[in-house]
Amino acid sequence: MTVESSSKVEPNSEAVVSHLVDHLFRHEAGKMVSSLTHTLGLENLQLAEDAVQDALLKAMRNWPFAGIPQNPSAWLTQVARNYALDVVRRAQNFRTKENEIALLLESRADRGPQSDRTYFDDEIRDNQLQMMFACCHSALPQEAQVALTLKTLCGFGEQEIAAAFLISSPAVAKRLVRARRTIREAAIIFEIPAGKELSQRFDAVLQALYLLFNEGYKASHGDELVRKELCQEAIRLITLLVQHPSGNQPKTHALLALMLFNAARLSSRADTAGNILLLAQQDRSL
Amino acid sequence: MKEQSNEFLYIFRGGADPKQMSPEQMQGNMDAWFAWINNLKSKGHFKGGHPLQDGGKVLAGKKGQTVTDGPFLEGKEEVGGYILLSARDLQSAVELAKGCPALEQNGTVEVRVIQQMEGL
Repeated sequence: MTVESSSKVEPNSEAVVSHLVDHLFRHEAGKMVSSLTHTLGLENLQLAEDAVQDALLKAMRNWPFAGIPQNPSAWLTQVARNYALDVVRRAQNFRTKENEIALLLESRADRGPQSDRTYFDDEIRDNQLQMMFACCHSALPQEAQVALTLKTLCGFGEQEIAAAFLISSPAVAKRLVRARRTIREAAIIFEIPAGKELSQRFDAVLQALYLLFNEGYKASHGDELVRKELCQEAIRLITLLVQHPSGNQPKTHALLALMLFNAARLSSRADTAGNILLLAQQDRSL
Repeated sequence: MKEQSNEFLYIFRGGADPKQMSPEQMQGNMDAWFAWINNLKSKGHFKGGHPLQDGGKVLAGKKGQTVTDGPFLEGKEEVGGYILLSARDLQSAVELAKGCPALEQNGTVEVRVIQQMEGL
């Protein structure tokens, strides 16, 4: 299936957007991997990631020539679904579930980008939360939890994760491969847990997000831009959590408040040479 | 009479390996290409062009009996896209090509003069 024949989203060549929202690809990647995994199942996380990579690649190559589509997110989502659908139809190991998954992918592709907007947004948020619970599962070592969260939910590349943790790209790649394998072997379910399980697994999520924030906040190493982005991502994810009934708990609010409180002084914590400043020395106007 | 043409072809080869690029890097690359091509468009230089998909077929033999997957073994050799443009002369076509984002990523831009039909 080609982009041209199946995409109902026509490029809008007249009112061409001059540039995209900052981090659009990165954030769309996180949303798309989550919602595709919802359809494909966690055991096919890698396929979901490949489909998203393919869609972004096509956008990167085509948009400069053809113009940016009116709804870039819808375009990307549809192209990623087409890729997944192609693979699902071809692959042997999908045989038993093939039809079910194909139907799901098609019904979603048919649904216009504008239809039932609120429901759609809720669903995307829920899928991201499900992904959060999967990435921060206690079957995974904590450093793998944070790396996987950055890769699948925040759309970070291996190099970017490596830069954040000051380790090599191949080491990150290995960590991610092991994490995906663990997820498959432990048969972790793509869900927002309920009841007793919720509170246990919820703590693991909060802890991973706190680590993510901390990794960004600690001024001891890494470059400043990367550090700031890690803090922003932690805040973005915990905000999603706060908005959901299961995540709307005092401790979530407390952690969000703590992050925001610390992030407020992020720009003024160091002088231009990168030396840490005491509060009294900081530029309060920043 | 001196042969004069104001039509040119850009052929892009090589560049970064997209498999190694993060979403953020892809967006940055997209933005750079978008800005460069838009500049060509707004100044009336751009006459057409497309990116090309990876792979393809190559025919050889007098009757095209040899069809192979092509000499695409090395990524840096593969043509990734083309642009047809109008410019004053070859030198200005070369100047316009200097901002091409492919160059930043160790790709190349080949600039060719379109041969015009003469005397009719």
